[in-house]
Amino acid sequence: MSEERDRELSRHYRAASAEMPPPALGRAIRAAAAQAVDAPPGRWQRKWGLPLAMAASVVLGLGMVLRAALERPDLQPPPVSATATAPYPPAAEVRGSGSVAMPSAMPTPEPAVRSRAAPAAAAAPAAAAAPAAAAAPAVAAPAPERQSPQQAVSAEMQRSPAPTDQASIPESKAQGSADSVAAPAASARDRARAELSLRVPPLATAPAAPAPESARPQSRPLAESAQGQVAGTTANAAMQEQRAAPPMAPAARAKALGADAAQSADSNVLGIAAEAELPAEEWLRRIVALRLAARHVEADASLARFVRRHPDYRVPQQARPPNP
Amino acid sequence: MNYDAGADSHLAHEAANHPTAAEAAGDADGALMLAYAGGDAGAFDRLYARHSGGSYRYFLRSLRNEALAHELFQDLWMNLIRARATYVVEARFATWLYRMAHNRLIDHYRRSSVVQLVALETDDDAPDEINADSAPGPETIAASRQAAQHLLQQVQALPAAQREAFLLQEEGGLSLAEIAAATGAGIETVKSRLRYAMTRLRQAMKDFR
Repeated sequence: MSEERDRELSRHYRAASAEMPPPALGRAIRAAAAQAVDAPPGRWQRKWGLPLAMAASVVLGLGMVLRAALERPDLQPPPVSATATAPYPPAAEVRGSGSVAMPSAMPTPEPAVRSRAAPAAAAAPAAAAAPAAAAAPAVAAPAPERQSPQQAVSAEMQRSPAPTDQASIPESKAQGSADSVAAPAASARDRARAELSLRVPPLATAPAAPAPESARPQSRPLAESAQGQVAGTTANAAMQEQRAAPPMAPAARAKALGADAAQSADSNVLGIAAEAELPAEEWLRRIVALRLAARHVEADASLARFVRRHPDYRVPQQARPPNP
Repeated sequence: MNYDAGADSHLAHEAANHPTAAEAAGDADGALMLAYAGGDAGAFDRLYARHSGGSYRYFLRSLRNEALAHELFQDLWMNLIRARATYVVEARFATWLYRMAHNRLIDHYRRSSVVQLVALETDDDAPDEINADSAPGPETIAASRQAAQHLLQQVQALPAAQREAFLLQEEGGLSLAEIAAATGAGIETVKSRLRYAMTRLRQAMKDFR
């Protein structure tokens, strides 16, 4: 440091450094300084600012902790198995009411934790309705009333576990069962078995065309929940995929797709493996053909597979399930 | 150690009358600044009396323009008044004050001239040869006052970075580390700048010794 500081130089420099700021400037600065502390802005802010900030931090922290606790995976409701025994109401009551009980009216096996995983939680009460409907034909052997295909699906799911090999059963088994309004229970059961083997995701569970109007809104969540049981988490994934799909398709392309669909309806039922090899346009054309032939169950199943294989492909309106 | 700059006036009074960490560290100016932040206007007057001359000359020597020096000097102290609520004792008060002065000077250079900015921020540390023609002969300088005036001329002829380092040392009383903190330069860089500045000034003043 001694090299960087020369006392002789400093003495000379200080002897020459007598300049001072103008007194008027000094007075103005001191007056501004005094005025700044005489009227301190935000005295209330200084008094309450810190407590308010701390309170806000505590509230925010508690909110984050609660949210994290609700979203913990170990607090999610466990998947309801198809053979789960829960305090369901007697099947006779369900059948006696003339329709399948609404999911909201059914007691749930356990309280669903409300969280972001809303579809999973919502599936729990809906799933509870499935065994009730399944028990119906067991109690009263000849089903005198009409049973929708979706109810039959639920019933069949109660009887047989889902097959592991999706491609082992050809889709053609499901032919001929989509057009029955007053189909017997056995016929519906066959269709249910076929549909079950295909593991149709929720979009494919649209009510069949001949189903009565009153039964549609009730049977739809039932079927969705039942398939959610079988497919497990894949159902939620499929729902997300379907939500990601664009809502509308260009009318022109849909029109072109549906032009010759009716003619080739019968030839549109292929094996799953063969169907997956089709180009997207051709596959959609076959789905539209199935819709025009009122074979919605097959169309739904095929559409679900299509969406899984082509998640970013725009599905035309004719290929989608008809609105209830 | 942090101090709440927004403490109430009684805390400021206490800070002014009792030794604090700043005072314990030998920085009474820091305690005065804390007292002023707490509402003691008299503390500001004492601070101003201590540092107004040095900071004014820092601008005056750097700018070589009295009007500009007045403007930047006023800005510096108004900035200090505004910054009182956020003041914390992290270094000596003089270091904090001259860091603000340095920043204001850089800001002025940026707005006015790129050339001067480059001159200040680049390390123009190479010792230039003193122009013998510009240096007055010993026969023309008879008194020490003349020697001092000659020194001021040589100070103003220094490269900007060397001049600033010299002024911070002489006017602010800053150490090497404090100059480095105030200017954002490395200690070795500051050391080099000061060495070159002193070499030049000694060479210019050798006839007056």
